[in-house]
Amino acid sequence: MAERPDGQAAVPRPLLEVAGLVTEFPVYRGRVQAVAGISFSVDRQEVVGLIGETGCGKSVAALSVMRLIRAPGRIVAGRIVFDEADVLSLAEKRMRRIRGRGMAMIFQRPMSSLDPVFTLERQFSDLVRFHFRVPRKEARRIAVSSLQAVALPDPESLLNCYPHELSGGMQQRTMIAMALACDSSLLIADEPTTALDVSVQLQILKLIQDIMNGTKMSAILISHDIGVIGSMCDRVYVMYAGQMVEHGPVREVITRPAHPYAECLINAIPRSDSAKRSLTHIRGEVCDPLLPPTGCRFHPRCPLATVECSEQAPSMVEVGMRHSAACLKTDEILSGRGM
Amino acid sequence: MRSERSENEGRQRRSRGWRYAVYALLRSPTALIGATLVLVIIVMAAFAPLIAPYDPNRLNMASRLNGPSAEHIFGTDNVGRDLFSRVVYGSRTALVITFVVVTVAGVIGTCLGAVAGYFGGAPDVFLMRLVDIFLSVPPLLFALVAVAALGPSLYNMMLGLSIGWWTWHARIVRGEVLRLKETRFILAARALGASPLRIILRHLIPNVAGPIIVQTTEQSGLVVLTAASLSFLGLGPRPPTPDWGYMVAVGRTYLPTYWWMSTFPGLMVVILVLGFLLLGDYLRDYLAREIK
Repeated sequence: MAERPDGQAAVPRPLLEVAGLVTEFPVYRGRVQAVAGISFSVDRQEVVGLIGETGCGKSVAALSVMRLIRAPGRIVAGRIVFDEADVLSLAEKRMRRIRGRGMAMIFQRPMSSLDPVFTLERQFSDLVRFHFRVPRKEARRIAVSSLQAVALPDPESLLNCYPHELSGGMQQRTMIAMALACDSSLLIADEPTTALDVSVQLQILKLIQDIMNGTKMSAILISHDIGVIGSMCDRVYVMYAGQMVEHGPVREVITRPAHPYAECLINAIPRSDSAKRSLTHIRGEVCDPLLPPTGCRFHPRCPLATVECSEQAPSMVEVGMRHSAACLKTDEILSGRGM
Repeated sequence: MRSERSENEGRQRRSRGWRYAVYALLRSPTALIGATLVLVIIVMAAFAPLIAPYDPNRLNMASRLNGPSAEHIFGTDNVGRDLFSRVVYGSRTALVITFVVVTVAGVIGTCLGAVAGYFGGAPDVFLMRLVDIFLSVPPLLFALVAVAALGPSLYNMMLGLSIGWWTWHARIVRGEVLRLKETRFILAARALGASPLRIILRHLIPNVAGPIIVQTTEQSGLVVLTAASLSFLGLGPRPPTPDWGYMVAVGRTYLPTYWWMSTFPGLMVVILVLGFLLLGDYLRDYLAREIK
């Protein structure tokens, strides 16, 4: 992504600030901490990536930020500040105003994100009229202009269609258009391109990028594809088993990962120039969320793990400009690479 | 991508949906029979004054208990009223009862079912146990008790039937809502700021419309039957309102010699019940196919 002017110093507070967030789900055998104390922030006009394997809590983190966790799951600790508002203490009614208008979320598998029994016009006008209290005609105008903004042809007639008449890519564009119609300041995209075919993936990512460049929107991009994150984001957070293990500017993290998990993820990218014939993978599986390993949660799978790692939980240590990692072996990794 | 598609085409495709429904109806013999039976009764009710040759309540002691003839095609009853006219007007009573009961029960059941399914937890447990209790009592018995307590009349009968009938809708809607509320478009609606009330009314209930329609049609048949049973027991509309169930009851004492007095109204009940059930069966298949 094109480098944004690094104006963080001028911006007094980030748009979204999450600190010590813990989200729990009671299950038969106990309680699962899907998100176990994560902190992150998103500046205005910044695109932040959230990466990690399936089941490491990325989506739960995003849903928690929007306070969309359904009972019996609940947020047990932490602080979320969005645009000066303390999200966790807001009344549900005010929270509903923030959803959509303040922050909007789009999901993977867009075909199931639209209500199958209504035309797009009905869904758009419901949404726009709820947030802006405008007459139907005005709502239609907003819908047309936001469909144009996501480069869908012939928006007028598209509005008369039902979701099943659209292709997957068009449906995802429509979802993005809905977020645009609400004039949200933060777009949370939860794996927006999974389930779309590769050429369409590229188009959607390009679209999100164009929108980010053309508006004042910020975005959180959730993905398990480090290539996507690498090309789209300003900063990236790496999650493992409900915890943040590393974060920093995207280029930093990709070229000089300071946590073995991040390094493994990067090494797992298939390369056509590699002489090796087999693909690199991370051995083992994500740990049982009910009984996370002691010490560092990654140690059972970590190539560098020592006894120490299973005893002592590492804390976030700064390793560079806005670049931190939670690993006891960080020095080893960085110096091993000759730095 | 789709620039070639004009607004007109979009409209055409939707009207083809209706045309397809009619086409499918015509292709299925049972559905066609069901629809015809129900339609015949509806036409009868709508144009009763035009169809009935006599005033249904005009007594004529001179021609009591006449058998079917060219003059009175269904014969006359014990006080000389034209049975055909009474049967025709009786369709109005039957349809009004059915319509009111399934509407009231449908609305109550749908709302309670949606609330139970969407919110879960205590409201769900409370409402569903209530449903269990109601279901353990046959609806006929419910209506019987209500009418016995409030006095026999058309309104009390409809009230009694509605009280016993909402449970089926509640169950079905709850089940569908449980399934739908975890779908992504509901999550997406919540993520865009929709309130629970809005989600229930604007997203969940429209998506449950198919099962509700099927259920309502099939229940209509059973309501007709139960209402006829109640009037047979003398708990329905007060005479001289023409009512099939009551006519069967009166004719019973004149069986078997004056068979027509019970047979024709009874046959009408059979026709309407059968019609609703066959139609409901077809709708179940058709709407299920639509969903896929």
